[in-house]
Amino acid sequence: MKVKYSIFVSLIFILFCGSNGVFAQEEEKEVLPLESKYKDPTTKVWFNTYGNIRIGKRFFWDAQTHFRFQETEATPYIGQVAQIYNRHAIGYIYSKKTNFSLGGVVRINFNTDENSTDRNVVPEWRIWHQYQFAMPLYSAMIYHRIRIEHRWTQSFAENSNYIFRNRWRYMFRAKIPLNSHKLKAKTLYVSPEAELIMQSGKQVVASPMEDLRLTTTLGYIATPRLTFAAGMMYSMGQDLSNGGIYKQGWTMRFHMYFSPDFRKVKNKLPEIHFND
Amino acid sequence: MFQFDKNFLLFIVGMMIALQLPFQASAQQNQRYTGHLTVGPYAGRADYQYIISDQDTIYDGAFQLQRSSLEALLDKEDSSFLFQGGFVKGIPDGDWKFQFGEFKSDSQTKVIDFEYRVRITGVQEQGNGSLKNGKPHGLWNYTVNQIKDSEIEKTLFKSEVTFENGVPQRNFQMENQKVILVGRFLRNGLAHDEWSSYDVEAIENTESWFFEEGLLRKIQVIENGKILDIPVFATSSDDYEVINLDENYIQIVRTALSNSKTSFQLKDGLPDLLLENEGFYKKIDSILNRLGTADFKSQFKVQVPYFALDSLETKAINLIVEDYKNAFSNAKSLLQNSQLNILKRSDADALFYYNSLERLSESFLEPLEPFVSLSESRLLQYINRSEYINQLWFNEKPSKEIIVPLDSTGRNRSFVLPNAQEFDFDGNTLASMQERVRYAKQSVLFIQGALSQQLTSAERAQALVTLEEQLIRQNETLVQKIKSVQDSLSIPFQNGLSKIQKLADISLSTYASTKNADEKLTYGKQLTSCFEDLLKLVDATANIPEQQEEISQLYQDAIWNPFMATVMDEEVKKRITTAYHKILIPYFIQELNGNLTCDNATKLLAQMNNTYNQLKALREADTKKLERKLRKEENPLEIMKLFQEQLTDKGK
Repeated sequence: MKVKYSIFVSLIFILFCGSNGVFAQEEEKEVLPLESKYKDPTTKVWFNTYGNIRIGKRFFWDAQTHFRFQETEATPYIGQVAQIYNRHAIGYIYSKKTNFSLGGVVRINFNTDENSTDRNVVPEWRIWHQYQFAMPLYSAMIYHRIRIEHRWTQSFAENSNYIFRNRWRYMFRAKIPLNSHKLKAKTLYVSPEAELIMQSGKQVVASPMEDLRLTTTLGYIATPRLTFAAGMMYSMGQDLSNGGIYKQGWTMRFHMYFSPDFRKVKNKLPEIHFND
Repeated sequence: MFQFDKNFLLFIVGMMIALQLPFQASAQQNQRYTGHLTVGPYAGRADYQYIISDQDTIYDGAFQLQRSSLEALLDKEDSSFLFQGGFVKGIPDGDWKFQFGEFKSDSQTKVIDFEYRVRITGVQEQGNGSLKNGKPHGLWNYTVNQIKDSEIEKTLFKSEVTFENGVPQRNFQMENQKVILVGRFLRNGLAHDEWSSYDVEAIENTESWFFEEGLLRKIQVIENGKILDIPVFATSSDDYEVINLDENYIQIVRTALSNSKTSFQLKDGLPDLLLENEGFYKKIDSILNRLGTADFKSQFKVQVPYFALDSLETKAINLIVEDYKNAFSNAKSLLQNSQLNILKRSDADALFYYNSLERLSESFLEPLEPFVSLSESRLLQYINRSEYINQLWFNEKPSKEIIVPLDSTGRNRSFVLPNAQEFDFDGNTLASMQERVRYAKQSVLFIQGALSQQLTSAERAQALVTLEEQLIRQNETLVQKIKSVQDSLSIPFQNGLSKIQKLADISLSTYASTKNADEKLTYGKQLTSCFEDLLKLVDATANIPEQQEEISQLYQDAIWNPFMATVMDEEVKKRITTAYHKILIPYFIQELNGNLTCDNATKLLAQMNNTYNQLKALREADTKKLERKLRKEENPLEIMKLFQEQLTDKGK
């Protein structure tokens, strides 16, 4: 356990030092406003599926597909498709409470700006790795997730170049069972979560804080292999081009979590009993 | 623990062969053995010489087998023995000594010179003499002494007989605590002349047997100065046979005496002494015969008249014995029948028949007993049968009419077999004897028939009482049981249990209202087994909630949920558990609350128990096919069939 936590602490440390470095190199490009400006929040709807498919004793295939909608003038509330998001990784189960993943993301970004004459669809590429730690706390579970992404994006403008950025993400989440003494099948749970997404890269001058997401989700564990959840997220973060301007958003999120195990092994559990 | 390597084993085998060689080489030379040996009931230390012939060990030369234990003697008591003598090629020969001792000690030891000495108290038997070709030859002594503090206190038995090649010769004498007997034999072993016996207590009283070449002519008894001559085989007979002087001979003599209309009865003293001696000789004979070939019998010979049995007589005798045994065993079982013994107190008829049976046994069967016993010992050919039959019913000739006193007022009632005139009791012949026995047999059968009705109804009444007690006990247990489990159960189960109680109540009232005793008995017996089932059904029903919980727990698989990082229980084989929880259990409850009878209670009980056991068994079985079949199945009976098939298929 000690090793686990020291890894965790050093990662946090790297994260913050890195951010400090970013701030130190800050160089003004755009004229910063005298006071920070907050844009009007946009509303978005995300439909996310999370698959976690066991492919071996200690490995799983992490397969996530998200559909993200964003409101426009013409399509309020639900909005129109903004991003289709395919995130895949091979996960390694270190223990029941600790796992790591490494994989890639291809995200299809749709231009939601109704006035734009640019391209409608552009791809975005990422390499990501993630370190997740879980801790039981009374009847609840709390989770720490560090996710590091290496991201190549381009704007909708014709012939625009890819820009490279790193994203540094830390998420704290709890899952608190509501109608049971622990997380098990047929349990309703509430999950408060906070994620801070920092970014760095040549293009990132005065806007290291890409996003701060505060979410509350209500979930239901239908079976040990299938969970549904829905929640509301408030997010805010600096505009890449001007650090003085903050974007805001309200997002309704709907999740489906599934974790099939097609392996023909008699006892699927003991394989992951290692150090607990 | 010990591990021999190959070389060592080869060495051992080699050694064994090597050791065997001298034995083979000197096969005809005497070998000596010292060590343990068991001969019949005697186990002890042996020291003997032998030869090997055709791989058999044959005693040849000196022989000794003995046992004595100082430890046992000091502790409690010791049985010792010593057999000492010799063999010539497996046949006992030369001087022999046999000792048997039963000793106790006072546990006081003394050292005298260079020996420890212990005083012993007990009995020592010793027989010694010479053998030739396995047969006694020369003088044989057999003495039984009572020892007290290592000294002879008194002689309990003593015999001295001279043999020649196994045949007793010349004079002999023997004595025990009661009688002293002297007599002599001819060279062929036949008893001859006067055999005189003296009463040890009163030496002037004698009993002498006068033999003439083995034939006992008369017995002369002198008692208190009075001389009494009793002829035995005095009259000459057509035919004689030489037999051994043994128990059978004594029996023949007794019968001959009873025929001769004297009041004299043979006393036990002399015969007992002869038989005692015979017993000691047999003991030695059995030892010698276990060791080799020997014929060690006293071989005292006598002659008796012989009356050959022709085939008609043999047939008649066999019939008599057969009928006697039949009548005797039937009469005995009736007289000992406990029901009859109770019934005769209250029922005049029963008492009459009981008493008739007693009289019948006394006057017809008891007098025949010695005849049957002679026949069994095959001695009838040595008995003058016409004389014998004559005196069998010496006291009272049996009558066809058996008069039984009814009460103390002197009133009588008589028993006569309805077809009595068919029997001819006239004369004292085997034929009339046969008729009498036949009459007795048929009378017993008649009485048995007359009593059977009364006996069965009495037995039935007793059976009903026992049955009712059992039913009441069972019902009480049922009520208690239901009471004790009912509160912890849900309403449908409670109703089911009430139904069980109701069935028990209804059955009991049906039983009570049944008038016919036979039907009542049959129904009552069915009820006891039904009540047993109902009791089990209550248990089975009360156990269902617990079993359901157990099954639910059993059909869980722990799996790891990656999103929650938590181990969760997952229900497996849901179609099976659903069929159990949602179809079978409700079906059982419905059956309980439906038309419950004794017949279907058994069936339902079996279904409940089977289903529970099947569910436990199916957890580990490969049930993919079964689960597919269960998808659409809603009929509980079909489901149970499918479960059964799955488990028996697997068994194949």
